[in-house]
Amino acid sequence: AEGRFAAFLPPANPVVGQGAEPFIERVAKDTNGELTYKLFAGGALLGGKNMVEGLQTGVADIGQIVFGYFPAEFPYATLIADMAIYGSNAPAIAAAVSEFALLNCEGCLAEFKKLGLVHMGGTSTSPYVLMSRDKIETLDELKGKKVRTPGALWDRWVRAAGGTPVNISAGEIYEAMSRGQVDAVLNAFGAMKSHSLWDAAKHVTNLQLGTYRSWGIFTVSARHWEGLSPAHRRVLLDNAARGILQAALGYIATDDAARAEIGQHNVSVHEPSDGMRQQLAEFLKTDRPNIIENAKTKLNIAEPEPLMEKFVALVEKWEALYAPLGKDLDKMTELLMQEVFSKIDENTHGL
Amino acid sequence: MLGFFRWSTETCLRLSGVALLLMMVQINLDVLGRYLLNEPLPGTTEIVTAYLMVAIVFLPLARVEMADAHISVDLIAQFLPVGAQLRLQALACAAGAAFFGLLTGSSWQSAMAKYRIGEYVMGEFSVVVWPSRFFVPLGCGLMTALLLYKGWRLLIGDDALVRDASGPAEH
Amino acid sequence: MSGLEIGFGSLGVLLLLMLLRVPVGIALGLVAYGGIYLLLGPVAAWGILTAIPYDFTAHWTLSSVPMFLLMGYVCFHAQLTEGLFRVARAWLSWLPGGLAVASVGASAAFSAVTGSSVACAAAMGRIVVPEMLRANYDKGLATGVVAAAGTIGSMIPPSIILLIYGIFAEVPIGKLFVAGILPGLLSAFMFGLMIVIRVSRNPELAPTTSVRETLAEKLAAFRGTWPVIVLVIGVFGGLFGGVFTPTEAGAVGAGLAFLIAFAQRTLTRKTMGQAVLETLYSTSSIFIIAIGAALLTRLMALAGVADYLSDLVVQHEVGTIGLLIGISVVYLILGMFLDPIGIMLLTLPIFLPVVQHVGVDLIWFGILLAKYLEIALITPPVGLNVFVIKGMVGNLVSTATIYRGVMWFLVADLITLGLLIGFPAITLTLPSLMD
Ligand code: NA
Ligand code: NA
Repeated sequence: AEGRFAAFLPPANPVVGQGAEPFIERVAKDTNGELTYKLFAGGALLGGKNMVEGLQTGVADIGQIVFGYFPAEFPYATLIADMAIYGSNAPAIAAAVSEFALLNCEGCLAEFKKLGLVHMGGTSTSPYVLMSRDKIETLDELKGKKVRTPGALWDRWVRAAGGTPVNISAGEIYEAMSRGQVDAVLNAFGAMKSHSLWDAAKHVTNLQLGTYRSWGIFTVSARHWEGLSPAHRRVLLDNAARGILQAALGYIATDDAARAEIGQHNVSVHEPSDGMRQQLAEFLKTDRPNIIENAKTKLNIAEPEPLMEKFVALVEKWEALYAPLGKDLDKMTELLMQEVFSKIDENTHGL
Repeated sequence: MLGFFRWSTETCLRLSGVALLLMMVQINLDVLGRYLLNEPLPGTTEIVTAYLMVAIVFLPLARVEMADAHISVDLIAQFLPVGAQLRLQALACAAGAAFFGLLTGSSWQSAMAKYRIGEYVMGEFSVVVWPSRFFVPLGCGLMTALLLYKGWRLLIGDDALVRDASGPAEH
Repeated sequence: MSGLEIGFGSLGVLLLLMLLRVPVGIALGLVAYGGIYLLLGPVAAWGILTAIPYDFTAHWTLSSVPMFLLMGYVCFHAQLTEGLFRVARAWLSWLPGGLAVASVGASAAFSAVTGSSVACAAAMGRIVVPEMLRANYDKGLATGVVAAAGTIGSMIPPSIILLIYGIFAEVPIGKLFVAGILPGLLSAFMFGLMIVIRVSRNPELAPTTSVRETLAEKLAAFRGTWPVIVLVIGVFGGLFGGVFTPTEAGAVGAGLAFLIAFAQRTLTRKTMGQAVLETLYSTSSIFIIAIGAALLTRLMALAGVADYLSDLVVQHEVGTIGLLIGISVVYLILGMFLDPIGIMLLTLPIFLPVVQHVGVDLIWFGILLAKYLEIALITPPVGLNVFVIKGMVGNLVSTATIYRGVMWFLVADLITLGLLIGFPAITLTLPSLMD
């Protein structure tokens, strides 16, 4: 029977349009139509917050999970979410988070196993930047500003930089921005276009604040995985490798498309002052003890430091590997297969 | 038995009344804090969505049933003789008990899983949310018990619970 | 059984259960569970019950529904809005069905502070329905008008439906919002026209108050309206001044209503208790139905019903207008049973590429979509706005009577829809001025 692929984001989002959709097509082709999935996008079947329960009970067979919604369930993934400001090259980070979770972090695979889920790698958005109603080039200009961020780490940064983090739901960003309940939001550049933020946010500060990277965009229900032949599992793994990179490149393309149009919307892009850059570098240093403390006390990870170092090393490794490749999806996939996905045994992974 | 249901449903209703007023106060304080002091009230979104919304929706369920204020479409039932109407009501009770019984079971299982794992949500401050999961089986469980009792009373021809009901518009 | 057989069969069972007077929420939920059990087996059916109800309820934007309900109930019990209707009576009593027309106007104005049609009906219902019943208006008219006029809440900006559509279809949200203004006002005008025509032909529906007041008396009527004026200025001002969001507006409105009632000395323990009690009754009974509708939407998605209906329309080469009419029929059918946002998520992935392919303007289509989903809120058997009003009037008015009263407004809505399809300029003129 046809399987079910649940995405909580709409088809226009890269993890669906460049992630899920081509993945489903390729899997059908590679299995000669033996393995087909029907896509339920935009939360038509499962939303972001009930995705784990839905996959566990087989409501969907493959789904996209934001681990940040489930910190108690995914402590290791939460640790990675706390390390979001390291690196900015989306496909390289997608490769790094995948190699980290699949080959270097027993705790990561164990937490999936315990939940009845099978991990097939993660992806990354393009870099987050600051979009604001008024120009923000210096720390003084950021001071006292109400900023909406996508997670706890960035809230801590806003606080450290003198702003006030405020909680606005994703669906309300546009309204809140245009009426002034928030002064600035942190998001990937493409959100200017996809969320029409450029109607209200006329200024972008090119401070690279990391990327969103703690999610599984091809997480399989163990109920489904166990019933697949090893050959079919192999097809899913191979296509996941390509899919996470395609989604990451999709985010960059979305950003580029938005950048090309900002002139028509009177949006100006600013370079942050040296003071702002220094503050961010300083924050990374001072926040590290927080992350370690949080990992030990809240996440119950006894020794987070080696994991954190490994992760940073992997980000550097993949940024170096991918820097010369430009946007060449085929070459990137080949490298990722060679370094990571070929080392996963379809006869034992997740079982 | 009826006394137990009156007391327990009223208690749940009062709890959700507190939740409703808390929601209003908390959102207002959050708005005021954000606007006047540039400092929102921490945890507002998390507490309103996880705790207060769930309490407001699920805890009053059984009290609403006591008042016969769950919404149904009365097209043909009203033209039937009284005896048939009561039997139809017993059927509705059975259907309701089945649905809310299923909900009680599934939400209890889910609440226990979230309790064991210690579910919390992360904002600038993290908020423990697993206790709010138990509002669902509590409200639905009481509703199931009430519907079973009501259906049984109706079948043996006692419509005290139906007569006892007084919708809000009649106050 | 095939998925489609299970899907359509479930709808049949649903109708039967509702005819047998099984409460709407229970009928919806039970049928959804049964259908998914047949389709995917016991574990997934159990899983849907685990995944949907809590997640649906623990939702920030929906918190505006109990808050706007509370505002309406406080206004009613503390008699804050009586003055408003004295004004409406004094100035509109010459119009056939003046109070009903005033209700439409008030709902249209209120739409500007809420993004949700259900919240709009919730806020207005407790204020205006009792006034019309007191004036001996026909029960169907008095209740139907509010259920219908509340739907304008998601056409006149802000609008949750247009927001979600804008992000889904990547259409500029600002333009969508501006595009909704004229269609929203047109809907209100058509409702008003429908009332005037109906009451002129059958004056018994809405007895005119025989008072003939002088201009001085008419102006004096405004004196009693300060509580409402303070409330309206507070909510509108705060929203447009960037103090709070449309979701928060409900809580601010409720808080303001309490403060005003306190200042007016109409806030007693009894009125406060009554307002809270009725808010809880309404919230709980409406959310159980909405949860049931959300469960049924998942069944329809899994069974492929929406795909099937959409394919029927898409397969036939019928031209743009034919396509839009076909799409309208699909939305009318789905809208009978499902919740609006669920319908949107089910159908957009199929319809969007098609309408884009034939060159339909996506802003225009977004407004048509909002209209379809507004209509869904008042069509039987599952019309959420009708149930909001039903939850308020209790045993005084039967659900069938409200549906009967709504039918006329449904006709008005279909005419409006026809105008919106026939004359895209109604929708597209304002946003084109933004370029
Ligand atoms: Na509105
Ligand atoms: Na309907």
